[in-house]
Amino acid sequence: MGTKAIIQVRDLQAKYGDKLILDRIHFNVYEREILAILGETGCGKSTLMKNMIGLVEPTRGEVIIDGDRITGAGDETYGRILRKMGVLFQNNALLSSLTLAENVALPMQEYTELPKQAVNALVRFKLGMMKLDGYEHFFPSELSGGMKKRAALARAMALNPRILFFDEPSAGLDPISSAELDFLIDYLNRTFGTTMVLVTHELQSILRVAHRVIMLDKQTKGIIAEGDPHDLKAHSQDPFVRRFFNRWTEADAQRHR
Amino acid sequence: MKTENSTGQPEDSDYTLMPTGEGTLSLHLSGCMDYRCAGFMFKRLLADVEKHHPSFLSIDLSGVATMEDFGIAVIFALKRMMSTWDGHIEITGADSQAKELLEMLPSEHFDDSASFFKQEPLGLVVRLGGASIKAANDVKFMVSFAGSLFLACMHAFRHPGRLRWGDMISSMERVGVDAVPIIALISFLMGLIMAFMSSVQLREFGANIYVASLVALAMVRELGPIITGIIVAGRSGSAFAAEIATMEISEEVDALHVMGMNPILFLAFPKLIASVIVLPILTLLSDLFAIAGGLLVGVSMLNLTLSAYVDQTLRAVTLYDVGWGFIKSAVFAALISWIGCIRGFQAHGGAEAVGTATTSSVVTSIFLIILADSIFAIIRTYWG
Repeated sequence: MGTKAIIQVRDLQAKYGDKLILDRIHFNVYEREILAILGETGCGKSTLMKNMIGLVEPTRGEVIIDGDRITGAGDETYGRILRKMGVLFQNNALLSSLTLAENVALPMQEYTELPKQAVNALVRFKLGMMKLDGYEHFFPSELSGGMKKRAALARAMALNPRILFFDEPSAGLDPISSAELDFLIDYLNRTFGTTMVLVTHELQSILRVAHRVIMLDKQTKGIIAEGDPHDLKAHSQDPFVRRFFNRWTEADAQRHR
Repeated sequence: MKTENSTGQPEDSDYTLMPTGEGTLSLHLSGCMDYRCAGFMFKRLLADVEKHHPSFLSIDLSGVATMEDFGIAVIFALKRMMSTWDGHIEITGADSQAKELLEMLPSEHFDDSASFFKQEPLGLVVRLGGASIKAANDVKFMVSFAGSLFLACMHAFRHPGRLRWGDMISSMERVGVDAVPIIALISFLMGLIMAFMSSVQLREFGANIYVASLVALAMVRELGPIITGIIVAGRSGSAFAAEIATMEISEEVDALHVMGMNPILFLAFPKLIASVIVLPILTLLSDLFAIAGGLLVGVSMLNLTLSAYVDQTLRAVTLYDVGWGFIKSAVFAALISWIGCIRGFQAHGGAEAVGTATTSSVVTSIFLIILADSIFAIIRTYWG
């Protein structure tokens, strides 16, 4: 993990209409780090990610990615930022009319002038890395949930972006597929030095791959905990953080008091 | 020899080619070997090396700040090109990441000329066979769906209390009330055009009054049901197909099924009944607006009186014609909703399937409307 802050979120506030979702969100993501954004359902995790990738403008504050301000960025700056990042959407967002190979090749064809044979080879390499050898001609609808997720990861990694965002990567996956995805996240981080931002509430994944977590709170709309997930699980004094990491009901929490 | 900067070359990557002896060349790569430089390297570097035609190429990677798979692709392309004249390469100065990638990336991928992007076109016989099987399956599904729809009708008649009347009313509103403005406008213009065109010939014989007969007969017997059917197929048949296809893809249909509900009774039946009730009424409106269009031309341009035009129209058209148009439009309505629902239920895959279902429903509906109209024309000719 590096020391350079590749993503800076400054005093961010997000609203849906008049409803306040996030307030005074302030944190950094460092180069080569795997950061998980946690919190209960409806606490604004996905909203925060949408603000970070520029899909939604925050009502206040700013997000800076590798020195460029994404909040309010013009087309040129936004385009430059987009090429530094990839996004794995919750529903994979693979284009259903294209095969896996065509899905992965799409960014390469758009942003490089590589000859077709090189694109073929690189696509095969990317799919092979995701253990999807032999599925090049398959359409997304012909794949299982885990395979779709890995294919979407191959597409997100097509241009080796410096930052990868994951929205609920383990949602709907069986434990084995989920573990395989965790392995890939860790592997890509180590091999390519890709900075990863995960929006999730899957405890096992968080403990397995995240270097650091920030935890959002539905009541205060802000960050209630930040740090190493194992440390937070073992030592946090915040009752909600303890409940979250130990999967306690309110009654369990009373008993452990 | 240092390459010139040109468009396509990122500022932070470059290469230097240096002859080091008879047929030997040294290549020094520097900067980031990522997707931004790969296109440029493929174009310029490969051409430069080919120009020298070396038997030995030493590639120095010590100046490379970041090596990615795109950079490795360039090295493999060089290797492949040099193998065509039995040249050899040597790689020096590779850092751990470059070494790892060189091991990970299978070079044989670059030797394989098979492309993923264009599949081999199938032979004529295979395509013909595939199309025949698809058509046979399609007909089988259509017949089976018609049977299911018939059973749903029987069930609905036996248990009318369990019908979703709310859905039916809302379908009637969408198919019928919402379509009134467009059907009225198109029919009025059709009547106007027919009257105008026929008057050009009929005026020669002083038979202006027969413009009223022509417009009324053509619309009530043939064009009214057809125009209305085609508009409803485009507006509502496509909407039925898109709605059910989206539900099918998002597993909502499966959810209905496992909840013990009959998806055909739940989704298709209200649409079928709503269309069968509403389309004849729309056809009647279409006839009236077309006659109004003809009347406008007759009164304003052919010196016919309002009463003469109306009288001639009433003489030309019988209640039998109106009833025949009613029956035809009810059959068209059944065909449109039947096909719309079938195409929806047949959809599988992703977003593209919704588009395919929608297009197919409109095309098939229009074809079936014309086919059914031809059958009606034959029946009427022999029946009298």
